[in-house]
Amino acid sequence: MSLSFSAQLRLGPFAYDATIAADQEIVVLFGHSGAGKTVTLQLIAGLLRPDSGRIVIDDALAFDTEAKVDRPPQQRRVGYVVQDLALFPHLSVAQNIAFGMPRGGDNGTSLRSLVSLLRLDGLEERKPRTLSGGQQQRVALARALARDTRLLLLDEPFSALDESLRADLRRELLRLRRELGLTIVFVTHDLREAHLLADRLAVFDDGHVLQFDARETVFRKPVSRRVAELTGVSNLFAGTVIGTDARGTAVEVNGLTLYCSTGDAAPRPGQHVDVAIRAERVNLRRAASAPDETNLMEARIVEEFAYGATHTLRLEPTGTGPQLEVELAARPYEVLGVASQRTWLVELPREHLHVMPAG
Amino acid sequence: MRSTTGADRTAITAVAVLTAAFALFFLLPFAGLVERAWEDGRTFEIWRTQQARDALFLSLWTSTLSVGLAIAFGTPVAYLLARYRFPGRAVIDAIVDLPIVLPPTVAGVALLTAFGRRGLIGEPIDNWTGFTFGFRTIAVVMAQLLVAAPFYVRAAKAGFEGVDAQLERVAYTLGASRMRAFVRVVVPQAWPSLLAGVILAWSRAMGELGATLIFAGNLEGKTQTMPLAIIEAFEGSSLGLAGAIALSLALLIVALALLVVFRLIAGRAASGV
Amino acid sequence: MRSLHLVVRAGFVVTVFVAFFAASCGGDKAEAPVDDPSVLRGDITVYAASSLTAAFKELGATFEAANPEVTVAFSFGASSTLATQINEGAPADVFASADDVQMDVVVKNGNVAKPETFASNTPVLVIPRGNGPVQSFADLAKPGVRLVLAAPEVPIGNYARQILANASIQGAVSLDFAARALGNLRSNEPNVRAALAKVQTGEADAAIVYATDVSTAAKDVDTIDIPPQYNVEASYPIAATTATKNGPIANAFVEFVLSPVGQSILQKYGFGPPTP
Repeated sequence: MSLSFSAQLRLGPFAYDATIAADQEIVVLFGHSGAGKTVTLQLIAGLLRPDSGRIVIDDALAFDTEAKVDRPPQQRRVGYVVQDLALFPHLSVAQNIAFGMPRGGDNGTSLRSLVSLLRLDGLEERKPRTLSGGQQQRVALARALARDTRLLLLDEPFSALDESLRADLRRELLRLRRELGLTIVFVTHDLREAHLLADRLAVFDDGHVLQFDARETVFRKPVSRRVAELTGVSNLFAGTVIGTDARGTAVEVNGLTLYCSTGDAAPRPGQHVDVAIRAERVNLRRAASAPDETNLMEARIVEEFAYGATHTLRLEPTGTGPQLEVELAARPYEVLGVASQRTWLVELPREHLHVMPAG
Repeated sequence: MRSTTGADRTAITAVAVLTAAFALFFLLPFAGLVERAWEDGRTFEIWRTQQARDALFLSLWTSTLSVGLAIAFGTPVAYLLARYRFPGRAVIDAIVDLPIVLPPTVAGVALLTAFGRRGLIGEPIDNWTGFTFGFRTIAVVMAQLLVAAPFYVRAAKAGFEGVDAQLERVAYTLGASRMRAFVRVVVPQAWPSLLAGVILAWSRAMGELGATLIFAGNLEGKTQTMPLAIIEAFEGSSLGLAGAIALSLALLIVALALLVVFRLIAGRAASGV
Repeated sequence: MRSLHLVVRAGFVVTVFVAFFAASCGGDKAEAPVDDPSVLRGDITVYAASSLTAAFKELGATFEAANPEVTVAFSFGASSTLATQINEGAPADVFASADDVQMDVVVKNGNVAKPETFASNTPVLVIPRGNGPVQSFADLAKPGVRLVLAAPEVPIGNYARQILANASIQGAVSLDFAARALGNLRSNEPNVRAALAKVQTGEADAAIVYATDVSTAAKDVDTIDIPPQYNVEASYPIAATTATKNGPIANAFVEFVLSPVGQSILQKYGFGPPTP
């Protein structure tokens, strides 16, 4: 079940323009509230009409401005789970699930298989308000799947649940995806959830898609400072390109020369760039391993946050170089003895230093 | 037990006294009616007269028809008003509410100016088809519809507004047409409000007098509803004052019976749903 | 100290409550002490048939002018309605009915003593202005005619039915005239004004009302005289009620109505002299 989506829309001051695609994978739409993620789902489902665009669901044209096609939501084969689930309160679990099934079909068997697939056995006659949060979620999922559709649109479905339940349901979702060959478009503003679930990730900001790539690409190679900010990169430096040689592209950041990795197009000398490195990729070292080792600077820990499984450290340079944030897992933190030593040699590995055009 | 201050006690006493007085004010007229009817003794005889039976039957079937029409036409209007913004919405909203604040006699005069033989629409219809509304039973239904429908529409609109629109949208994505979503999702949830609206509209239709008299006239069997029969009896017809009392009692019993039936239906639906 | 406070508060509430009720009960005005027995002082309420509205308002004004300490209030309506109300204890001091039948209703219950006839009136046929199906008295029996009358207990309704009956005897219009005319009856209106209104608006093709009523609707209706051999003369009786608290004033008003001044006012409005 594949999805091809491109749409433009103006809603008052809000300008929306996005293009994404999905095919037997989980595409996560990630961004702040109001960035356009929910609007995307509504456009796909047919609950909102774009000013222009083209939407193809499973090789069937759902919307096309030029061909003047606009199929109503009833005819688009998508399963849509909204944030507050919208289960029909006056119907039982079984009736909710069966609501979307075509009348006169093999209702009995499909219903039973969905119920056991989502592990809702025994709850068929219950009313939604008597179920737990997790159970309600599963009913909503079952109901969305009852249309025999293989495209699922999920709008922050787990945001109202506590962490352990969310973990369970994410696992559930991944299992369903495997077993049923689903294509899922999943909206979340939780970075960890986005990382866990995404095969591909679309970063939304202010009604536009800033980057749409495989997960690792988005996280490791953000195309702009804004994407880096949104994906939790805490180390963003402004710098100037010095030149490119065998060791990589040299960028001067706060008086320090850092050798960075770039894509195919090497930036010109003198160009202003942004350099990004994730906090967990910065290394603390006692000493240099060789006298000409690059990408090292001396820094002092000025602030520390102990999160239990990880520690986040803020460091100030003692000489040249930028302010840094370092994230250490608990074990390396103890082994290194960070608690007792405050001044460190900090290594910013070249392969994790990512250069982006300034702005 | 919480201690009540002196001020609390005064307040409670005052409220109790006022409530008792209010309740009495409402109960006494009905008690008086029952007592007079009993004392008079001719009640059953009067109920058996042709005039009484004609009036009761006419009242029952015309108000049922009016309420039926109110539901049929009023439900889509209420739904539109509840869900959609469109130009002129505020105007339609006000027009629907208008008969509620209008005295019934004004409604009657208004109907006359529109549908009377020299009325805006009545005259052309009379000229082309020879059909007139006045003095016919249809005029009774029209008068009842005008004064009673707004009660239903108002209640239905509030009921529909109370149903989360999100539920309908989800229903659409599940393949339900607008009609199916309305019937299977909206109505089952709005249903207590709808029922309340039906009760209000029905009782207003049954009690309608002023507009009916002016627009439809008063003829036994054709346009003389219960309220008209009661007024006529009171003003000294063959049924007389005893007739007015007997007919009033009959109307009261019918109204109570229907109220009970409605409540039972509502109760069963609420717990069953 | 606390309990005193409580009592005062309770007393206040009860007083307000009682005062509210007392005010709504609305006491009758106490009679002012009469210094001079020949000067009339006080108020009366006159219940009169609706056809007397204009005439009686002038009678009332004239009476008040002659008796500055007196106020006359009116309640106009169908005589049958008024009779019922008087029998149920309505505070009427004088009753002026449009026929003897309704006056008898009140006499039978002992609520008036000696009625006297004070005026007469002539029923007429009214039709909407223009070319309607009714252009003569006999047309009332034409099929499809929309006839409206006052209800039978209303005096004019009773008179109308008598007139129709009169036209149905041997040698009159036809033996089945009343039956055919009443077959055209579309509504029994609660009073004569309502019947007239139906003709004014064009809803009805014909109605039988009093000659005195026509002036108020002159531009909307035409009048057809009822052939005198079938017509009846309406006879209006008046009497003071037995329950009146202002006997002298009530009787004085009745006398005034019967006096030459009163009679000339009535005739100004189209009423005839009381038929002997």
